[in-house]
Amino acid sequence: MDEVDNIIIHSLRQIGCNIEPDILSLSSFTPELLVETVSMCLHLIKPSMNVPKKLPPGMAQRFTVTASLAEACTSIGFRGDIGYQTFLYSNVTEVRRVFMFLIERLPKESEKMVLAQPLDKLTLLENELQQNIRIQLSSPWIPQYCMKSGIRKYNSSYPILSGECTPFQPCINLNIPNSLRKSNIPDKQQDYWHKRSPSVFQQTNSQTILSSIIHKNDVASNSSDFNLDPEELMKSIITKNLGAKRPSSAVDSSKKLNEINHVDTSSSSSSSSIADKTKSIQQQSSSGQLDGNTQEVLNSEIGKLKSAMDELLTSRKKILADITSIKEARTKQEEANKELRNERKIRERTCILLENPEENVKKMDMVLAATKERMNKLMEQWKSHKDPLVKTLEKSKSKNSSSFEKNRVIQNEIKVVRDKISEIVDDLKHKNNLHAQLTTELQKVDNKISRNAYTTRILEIVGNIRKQKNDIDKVLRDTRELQKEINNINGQLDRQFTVTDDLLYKTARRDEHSKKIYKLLATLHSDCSDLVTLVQETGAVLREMRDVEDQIENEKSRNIAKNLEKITSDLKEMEKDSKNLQDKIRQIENEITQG
Amino acid sequence: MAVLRNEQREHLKILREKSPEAVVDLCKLAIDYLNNGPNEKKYSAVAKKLNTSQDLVQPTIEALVCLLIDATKSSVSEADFENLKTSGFSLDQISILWQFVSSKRIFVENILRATSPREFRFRDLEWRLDGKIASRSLLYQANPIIIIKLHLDTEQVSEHRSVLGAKRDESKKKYETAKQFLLQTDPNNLVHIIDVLERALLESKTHRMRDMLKALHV
Amino acid sequence: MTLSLSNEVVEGLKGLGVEIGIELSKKLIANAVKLALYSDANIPSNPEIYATNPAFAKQSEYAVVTVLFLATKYGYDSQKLRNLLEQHGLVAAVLEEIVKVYDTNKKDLLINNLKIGHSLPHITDAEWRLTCDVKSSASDKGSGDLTYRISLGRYREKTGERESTVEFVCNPEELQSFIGRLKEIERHCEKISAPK
Repeated sequence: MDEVDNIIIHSLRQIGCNIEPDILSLSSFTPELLVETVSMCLHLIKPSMNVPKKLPPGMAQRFTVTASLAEACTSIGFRGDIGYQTFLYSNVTEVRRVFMFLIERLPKESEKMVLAQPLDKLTLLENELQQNIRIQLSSPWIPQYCMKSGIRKYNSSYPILSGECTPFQPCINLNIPNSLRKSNIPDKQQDYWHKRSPSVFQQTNSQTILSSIIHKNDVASNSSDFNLDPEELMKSIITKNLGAKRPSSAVDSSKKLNEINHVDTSSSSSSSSIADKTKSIQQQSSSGQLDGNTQEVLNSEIGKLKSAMDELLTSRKKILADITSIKEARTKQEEANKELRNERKIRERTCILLENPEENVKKMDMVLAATKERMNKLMEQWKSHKDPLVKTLEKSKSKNSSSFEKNRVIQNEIKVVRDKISEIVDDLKHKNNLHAQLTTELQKVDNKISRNAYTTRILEIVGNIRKQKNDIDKVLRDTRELQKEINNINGQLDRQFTVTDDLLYKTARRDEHSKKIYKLLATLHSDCSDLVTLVQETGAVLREMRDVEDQIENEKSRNIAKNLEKITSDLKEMEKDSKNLQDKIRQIENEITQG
Repeated sequence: MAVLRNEQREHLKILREKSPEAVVDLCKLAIDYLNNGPNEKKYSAVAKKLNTSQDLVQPTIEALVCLLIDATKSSVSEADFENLKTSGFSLDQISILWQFVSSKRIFVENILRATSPREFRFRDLEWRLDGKIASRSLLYQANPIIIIKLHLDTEQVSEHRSVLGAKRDESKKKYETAKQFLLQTDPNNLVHIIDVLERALLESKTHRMRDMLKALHV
Repeated sequence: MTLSLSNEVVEGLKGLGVEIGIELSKKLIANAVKLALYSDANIPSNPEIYATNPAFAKQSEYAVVTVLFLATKYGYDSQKLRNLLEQHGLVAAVLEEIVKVYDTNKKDLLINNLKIGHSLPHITDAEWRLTCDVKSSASDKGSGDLTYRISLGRYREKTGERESTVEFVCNPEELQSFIGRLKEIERHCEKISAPK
């Protein structure tokens, strides 16, 4: 039975049971180990079943735990005799039968191995969706008002949406200070940013902050000067005005409209009429009494105003372009002016000089000489100052360059190390994957080898059994033949006896000797038959003896003495426990009566 | 049965004096009134036949219709109806009137039910399981979302008609009574909603509910 | 699709630890995350952040929040975020602080980003009432029919009050068929989610 035990222990190790390597047969399983392994098997066979994992220390709990395990075994179809005693006072054959049944019922390896497929993005996504659906289906329900913003942190790593979304409604005019980049920002603006402007959090609320920020960044990375685009601005103002939900926005927009009107003085006639109209509209809208008809009229007027506005904008653009061209022309002119002035100065000087040439030439010579002298002096001075400075400069330069070099080398090294790190991380990942794959393969291979070995063993055993069977058949045939012979001889003997009996009987009447012979024959016959029966009886007794010996062997294997000892000790423990409990009860009762 | 109203009795007086054949004629006229509305030509013809004025025929017809509606509302039994004897009708006349009332009862019942206030009833449901895999604020996600389109209708659909759309053109008017509603949910809440509704359905099958229904209906 | 930060944001980040001190920068980052994630909760104001250079503090608050939100949007892990910030040459201590804050608040940031978006009315609750037709203006003796009034609804985010999205009536048979259709969805979900 060693083979069977080996197979059982091998498969138990495969499903992850923690069996010490020195345990080689089921007879050395302790009750604790038994309970652990059996509950592991049960868990694998039926994950929904809630079976105790470990054997507790207390006797009473031990009893309940093992009883429930036994019940679980019968519930999945074990037909043998099983109860708490199977685990607590084990005997090898029963345990073997239980394990053989359990291991047969274990789910097949192929059912579990779905892992380690190459995963592309789509299947990953599908898997995640599947998982999320599974989680949602299996989790208990929680009312929406118990979740923060309709999102539930399930046990999974990822939050799952199980409520309403907040719409993406950005505040499109976030005002964020931009203090570092530009120096040409007007003081007033700077002042506003420093003292008054609200922070991002004051401009938004929890509903809008995220969308506002994403929107602003998207806009900023698409076009750099969104804030300065007048059309965009106007559109937002007009939509706000039309909405007429927030009175503050109406006031806001009217301000801005006024500003724009001021700017565009060039087409004053049309703009003033527009201003009048817009004012009237604003009055109406701010008073908030828009009925259907006037709204239509207003809409058409707004359309008109829009077109007028577009015209104005285009004319504004033209004018702006004109202004810039004019500015350019002006700067050119100014430059020309400067040049002309310089020329004029030089000419004036020469004129003065030319008035009194000789004196002036002399003066000029003197001045020249003086400057030359000064120049020389300065040169000397310069040299005296310059030389040490140059030297120090060179020194520090060389120093600098060396440290620079060092820095660069270090930087390069850092880069190289970083690259290496990422490479190694990738490598590690790759190798981990490989490792996982290889281990699974290894397990498979292991499995196969052991299975092959076992099958060959089993085949051998079957062959042996067949041989034995042949032998047994032979022996049986022999015995049958022997029996036949014995029967034959018995018959012969009987017949010979009757014949001699008859013969002697006939002669015994006449002859005294014959009489004696007859008597002797009779005694011989009875003695012989006695002998035969005795032989038969000894055979029977021998057989019985063998049976009894077998029984003794059987009983010995159940190690009753040990179990008995255990049971008695357990019983004692239980008694102690119950005594303790009774004492406690008594104590409590006493306390109660006293209290 | 509620006794006839006074003015009704007045108007039906003419019936008492007439032969059963005349009563049949008038009942037929009343049925015609139900189907096609008032018809003065027929009134005058019948008036001539019965030797009465047309002014008398018309209120009589209307009183008959009124009788029919009242009788239907209170679902009168034949025995109750024979109380008309006290108002001076003969047995023959009563049996003709009963025939008139009982033959048109289902028709009137249906009309009455149709005029009562109507609510939207559940008719059908379409669904789709979506996976939300990206949004402007979160580019990588995997959220299962169940989209449900509810078809509601104020009309009770007869079982013979196909459930959706098949005869939509034929009954354009009825189509206006229908309403569709789009909504979404997630698997977790779906399970909960099913649970709630199933318990609701079970409630209607309890003994308590049946006892209450019996008590209300007797 | 790649994450790109606007100049405003980059400058707001670069100035941390330069325009204002490192300790103050750290405070600013922590405060900004709190305000961005739990702006409904009462968070005490922190005037010292705005004490030295208010205009810059406002800009870099915006910048910190932007970089955290965008990193979440693009599903960045902390290494990727670190690379991005290194590209822009942040002060090392500030960079570490931002990455740390991103790591610790990752789940809440995800939730914050997840809840924004378009959706149909999302049903989370069902209510019902069972009525019996006893008497009506049309009939002195009602039909005795059982009618369910079903209301599918949800709860408002802010007030928590229930809002009925759709209401309808049905008799037990119709309710049975309604449940049947809903169960069809459930079965499908189960089938889809079952591991192969």
